[in-house]
Amino acid sequence: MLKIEKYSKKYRNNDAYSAKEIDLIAEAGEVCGLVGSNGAGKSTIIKAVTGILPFDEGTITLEGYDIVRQPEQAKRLIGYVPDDHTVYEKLTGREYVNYIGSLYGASKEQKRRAVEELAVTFGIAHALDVQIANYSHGMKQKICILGSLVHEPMLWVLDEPMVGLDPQTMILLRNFIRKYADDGHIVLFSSHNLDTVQKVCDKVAFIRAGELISLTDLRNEKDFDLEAYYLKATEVAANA
Amino acid sequence: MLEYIRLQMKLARSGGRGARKGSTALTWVFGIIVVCVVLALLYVLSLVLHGELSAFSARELSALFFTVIELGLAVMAVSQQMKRLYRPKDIQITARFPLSPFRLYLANLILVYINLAIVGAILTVPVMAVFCAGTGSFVWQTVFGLLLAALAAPLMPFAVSTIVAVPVMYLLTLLENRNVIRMAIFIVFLAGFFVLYNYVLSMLTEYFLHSGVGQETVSVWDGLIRALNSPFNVAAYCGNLLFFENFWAGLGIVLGVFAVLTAAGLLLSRPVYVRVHRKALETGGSVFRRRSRVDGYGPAAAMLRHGFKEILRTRAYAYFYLGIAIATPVMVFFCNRLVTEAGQAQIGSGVNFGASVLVLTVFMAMISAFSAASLSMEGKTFYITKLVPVSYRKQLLIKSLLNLCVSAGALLISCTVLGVMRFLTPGQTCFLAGAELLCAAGFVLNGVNINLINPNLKVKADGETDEINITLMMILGIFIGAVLGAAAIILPFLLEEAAVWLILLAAAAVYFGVNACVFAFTAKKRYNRIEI
Repeated sequence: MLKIEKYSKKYRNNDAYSAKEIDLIAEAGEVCGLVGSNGAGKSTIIKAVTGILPFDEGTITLEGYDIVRQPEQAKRLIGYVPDDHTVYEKLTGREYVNYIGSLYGASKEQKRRAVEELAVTFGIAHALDVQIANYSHGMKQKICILGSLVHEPMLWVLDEPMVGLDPQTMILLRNFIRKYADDGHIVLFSSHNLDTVQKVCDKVAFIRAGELISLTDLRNEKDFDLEAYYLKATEVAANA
Repeated sequence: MLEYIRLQMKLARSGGRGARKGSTALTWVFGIIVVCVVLALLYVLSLVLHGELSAFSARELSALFFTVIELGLAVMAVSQQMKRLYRPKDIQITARFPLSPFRLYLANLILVYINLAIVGAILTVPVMAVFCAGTGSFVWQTVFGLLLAALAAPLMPFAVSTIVAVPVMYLLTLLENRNVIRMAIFIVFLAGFFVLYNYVLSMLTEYFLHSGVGQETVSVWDGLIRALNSPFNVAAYCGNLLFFENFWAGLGIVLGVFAVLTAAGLLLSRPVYVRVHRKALETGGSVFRRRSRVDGYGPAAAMLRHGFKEILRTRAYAYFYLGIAIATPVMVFFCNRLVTEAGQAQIGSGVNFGASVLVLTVFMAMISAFSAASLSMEGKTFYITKLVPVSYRKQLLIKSLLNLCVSAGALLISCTVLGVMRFLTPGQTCFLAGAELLCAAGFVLNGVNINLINPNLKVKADGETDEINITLMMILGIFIGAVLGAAAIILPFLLEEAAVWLILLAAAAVYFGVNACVFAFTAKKRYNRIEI
């Protein structure tokens, strides 16, 4: 279980909160989507959950491990796909997946699975021995996905995963996210693609100006119109 | 096919125009200076050879210059063929042109030859003109001879490259990502360059100091020129064209060998090109690609390996960083030899120890200065460092260990040189190794501490950091090196050897201790503060 309690974050040289008193719980088997306009604070929350960004107030725990106090135990359970697909460009795809696997203590079998099965699933097997510097935007995204899954993390975090992907891969990734959660994992992802969020998520957290303004369980609200809700909330924010 | 050749030549020209004006001008100025220096050296070498090896005619001496030019052209030809035929960046586009693979193959070969002919003319004309001037054999026919020789010079390199390029391609594929082997080859080449440089310099010194070279040097060159003029060295026949001696025989042999070797090369390389072409069309993949294995390394070993890979694959770092590490033993050797020759007579043999401390500490500082960029060089990928379940302390210590390994390698070789050449006693050598290792560890930790204070994560395209940390660390290190070195030179005149050792060891230990304490107490806070 992922538990975020009273999480707040202020960046240096900025008095305003980028995230304020966020409370969020995601259980195994759930896909939780973070929705909000640009600069709302989605990435700030995601980076705190993954342990990349230090924070001042609140606690974040994963399976009982505190990301601040027990970072190594907690991080071992996390896989992360960043929004800008930054990877080690001087490595080949295979070397990258191998290396990330080693850092997470993945077994040889897990690494082999990532470079053989997952690479085929995501259509990047042909480029595994090419230096990543020569990859296209979408290919970098795919190799990031492979690297994030090599150790079969309990929590899979994706920041804007659909950006730059072709429609086929978007559908593939959407289905994969759903299946990964159904296999007993937690998926947390941010997206501007409301259609994807509506189709794949169990819960949607709406973030505005660093605050969690609503947490909707889509399983209980079959007719929930996310698009209408989003537009209304954004309009309210713009008028405020 | 002609249209394709024209297009490729146009692309090559427009690529040149796209370069930045400032850097292009600087490259030209630098290039002209290098060419002038090389030509001046060649002129002197021609004079020396002509004066000392008077038994040989100018034509026979020209074999040496033609052989060197053709070897250079052969290296270029192989590299061009690999780039154009077997690893072309634009094959996805060119493979779809309405040209058969064979025509595309021929067109690319013609392009290789055109490039080779241009560079061949640029090299052959000035080099051979300087040679003819040096040997006093420049007459009006030489102008025609030069043109003929310039046209003939690229023929053999081209023919040889059509045969050699494919095996070289396979060899390079085998070596791809084998960083240790590549580094070893680089070291061998660099060492070879130092040996050659030292030899040429000592020969010229000998010539100018004694108005001639010794009998031993003469016999070595005599043997070399004789070997190069053997009937099997086709490059030597270019001399026949330049000086119009046995002209038809020379031309016949050059053209005949060219035709046979090129035909053999085409038979060998054409099927490989067809495979490259087909694979590019079918899967977008490459025939020449080494597949890395799935490894079972743990986090620490993987991070250490990755650190080496990042350095070796960042061209500027690899050559500068490893260049300094390789230069250290060479500098220690030359410095001690100089001190032994000049210093002993005036200030005694003890000066070797002080000089070694000075040189080694300065070089340890220069090598370790790169630790001041160990975090910065990660650039945007620093998020991965923060993301992975490896403690900050372990990560920073592995980065430090990586830097220390390079320093320790250079130190070990340097101390071996000092011991084997008997510049220092075994006791002095062991002490120096221990104290300098402590110093190097201090420098490395100092660099990491500086980088934690100023973690500039903006990197250039090739992964180089654009920051002052390295410069700052180098200045600091050179200052410390100068102080310790001066102390090691002066103190033996005032104190017992044991006391000098104790003072130097204490200084190194204090420097290391201070940096270790700063690291232990501040690293966590500073590391966590870094925001991406």
